[in-house]
Amino acid sequence: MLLLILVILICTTVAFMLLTQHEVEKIMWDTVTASVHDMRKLISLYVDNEYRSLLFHKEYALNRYKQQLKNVTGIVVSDIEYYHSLYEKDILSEQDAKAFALESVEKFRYGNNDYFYIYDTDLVAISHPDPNIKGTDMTEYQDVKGNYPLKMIKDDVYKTGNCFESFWYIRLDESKPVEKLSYNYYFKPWNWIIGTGVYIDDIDKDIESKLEEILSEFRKIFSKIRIGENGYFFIFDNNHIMLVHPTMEGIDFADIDIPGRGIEHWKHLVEASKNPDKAYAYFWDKPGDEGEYNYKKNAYVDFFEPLDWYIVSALYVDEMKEPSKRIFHSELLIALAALLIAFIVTFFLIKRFTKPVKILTAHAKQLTENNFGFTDSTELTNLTKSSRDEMGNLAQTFINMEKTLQKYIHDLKLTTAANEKIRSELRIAHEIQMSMLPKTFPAFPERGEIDIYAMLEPAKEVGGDLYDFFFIDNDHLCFMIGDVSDKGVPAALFMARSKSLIRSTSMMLKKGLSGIPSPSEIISEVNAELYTDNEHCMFVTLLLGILNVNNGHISLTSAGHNLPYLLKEDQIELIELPHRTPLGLRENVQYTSEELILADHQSIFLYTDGITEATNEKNEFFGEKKLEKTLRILSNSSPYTVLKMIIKEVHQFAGQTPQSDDITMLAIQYFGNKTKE
Amino acid sequence: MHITTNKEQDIRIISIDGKIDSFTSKDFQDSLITHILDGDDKILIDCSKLDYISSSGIRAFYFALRELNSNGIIALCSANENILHVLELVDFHADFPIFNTIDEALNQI
Repeated sequence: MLLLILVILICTTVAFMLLTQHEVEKIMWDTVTASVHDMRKLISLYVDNEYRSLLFHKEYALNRYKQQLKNVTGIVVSDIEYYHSLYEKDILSEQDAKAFALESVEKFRYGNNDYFYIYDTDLVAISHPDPNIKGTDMTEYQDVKGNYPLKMIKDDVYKTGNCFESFWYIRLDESKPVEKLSYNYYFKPWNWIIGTGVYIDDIDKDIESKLEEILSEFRKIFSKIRIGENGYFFIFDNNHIMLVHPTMEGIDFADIDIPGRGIEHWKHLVEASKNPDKAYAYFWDKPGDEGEYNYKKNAYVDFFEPLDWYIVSALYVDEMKEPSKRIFHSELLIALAALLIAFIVTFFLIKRFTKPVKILTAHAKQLTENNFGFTDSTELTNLTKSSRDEMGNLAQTFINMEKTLQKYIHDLKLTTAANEKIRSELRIAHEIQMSMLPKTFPAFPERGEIDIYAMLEPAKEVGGDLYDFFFIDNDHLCFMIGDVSDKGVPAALFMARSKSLIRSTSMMLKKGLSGIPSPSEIISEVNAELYTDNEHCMFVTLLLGILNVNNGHISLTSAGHNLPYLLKEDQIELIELPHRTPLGLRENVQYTSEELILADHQSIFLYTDGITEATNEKNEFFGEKKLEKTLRILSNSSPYTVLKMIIKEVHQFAGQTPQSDDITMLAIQYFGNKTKE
Repeated sequence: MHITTNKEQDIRIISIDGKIDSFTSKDFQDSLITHILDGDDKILIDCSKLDYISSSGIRAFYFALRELNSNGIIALCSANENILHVLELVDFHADFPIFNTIDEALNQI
């Protein structure tokens, strides 16, 4: 009898352990997988965003070429019109007028020795610098892509009077065709098609180098993001070259030999991208134990079609099971203890009570059959009432044990799942934010004219502060500080997007204007770009400045940000700027730049409201007065000292009160032009 | 944060007691959107008991403005000095009229 009870109890416990183990493992697995899918979504969004800014660049460059072609064609056409008018006024014969017009077109050169051609409506070249083409009927001319560009030009100019058309050539020593963009104008009085073209392959080269910049940004970010303990992201392209990978960057994936799978591993991954939400399982190395390919991995492959990129999120299966193993161990201890107690009690009582034991065993059976869910414990409860003795107590103990275990497992499932999700999201947001900031100081050790220091102290919840600085050219330092509305992953992504847009827009404008753009021009462009598709009405307040290190001249623009301070000898001054709407909220905002001069040894100080809105135990703000008082004392100090002392003051003020927003500061001290001295 | 609302003529008045910060801005935004979907197009936010507004609160205003039809208006009144300072910094009155008192607001909306 005793043996029977013992067997039943052990069986119950084992069944119980196996069932809950399975259940908990499943829930944990689902949670972790869901957070991996979240990360994948974030990364796809990020890649897509960078790609769109690339397209924006390309279109901008192409439009500049088109405008240039139109302008220069306008000059040549007005020449021809002039000779045509002489003919109409009977000053020249038509033959002479045409000859003069042709001569002027033939002599005309611009840009990189670029020229004009003229075709008549039979597509015979009337004017062309190449003697092999001049006088020839070019109707059947085919370029290297098999197009008939001249036929297409003729059709188009008949319809609209002018048109753009591309010719494709293969240059000597090159295998890839390059594109020449032509603009053509139909001069009706003489039935002339006048046109010119320029090579635009430099646009593609520019885009390639931009792409390389984006990749290096990804390498920086991806190298810091881990899935579980050691899982990671990598990217390879359709030529199976590893673009981003913690250890195999630049390697041809097809060369990698894995035992049992030959060299086809990359093909399996490409195949897996057709089912991006389905895990593809394989065996691979883990950092620290290379060469054996012992670890099972699950990979999700996302194909980013515009760039032919395969983005792989690969996690180690054993690491994902780790949390549920921990739960299993604590469960095992509890179950063993319960088993032991139940067994001891049973041992002492078994000989005297057999009927109640039957009820108990029946209930235990029922418990296992119901997967430890709800059981009917009426009989058991009756037993506690009818036998007010040890047997009744045992029944009560049994009921209590059952309830405690059920509740314990339920709570454990919920809290573990919730914590895991929040932790992983916060970690990604934090990593995105911090990886975007320049953190090497001194930032420009070779520049004697300036000293710059900046810091960002993230809040636990992760805000969306940012700062950045970079030289636009040798003399102009662009610097900024900003604060994204809201917190968490969306804020971090918005911050990353704003920062890269400002960098790329200022470089692009500099190229377009062939001069230094003003902060207000940069901010206006970035605002328009951030406004599109901003369905959640996120925004960023921003202070953007450009310092000419030769003369201390600063242009400054504020988009709804806290005003900066000028630190002079023993005094400070609030720099008044017009208040304007933050970036991303309204489509057209007239931003303006204000000008000021930094004299030698003066500094400019920028900050976010994390400083002034830091609170203490009494719920008071640190405030602007306290900030100004501290700045006044520090007005002659180096940027590093200013920032370190202020953060010390803020910490002292806040005491034990947790920091609720990011704290960010940036200061630049100017020392005058060192190169002249 | 505590929200109370009433209607005077055709103007929906929403009074906020407490803080609009990243924890409460969602409730505030939901309240605005609910009234707009119910057909209110003149909304006055009474800020006399509002202690603080964070950037997520400002976001809620712009989110609601987009849901409003083009004749609609969202205005504020009776905000304290600290809040006015924050709103001025982001050029808030370019999109949302700001009045000193509730009477002034009701007369001019």
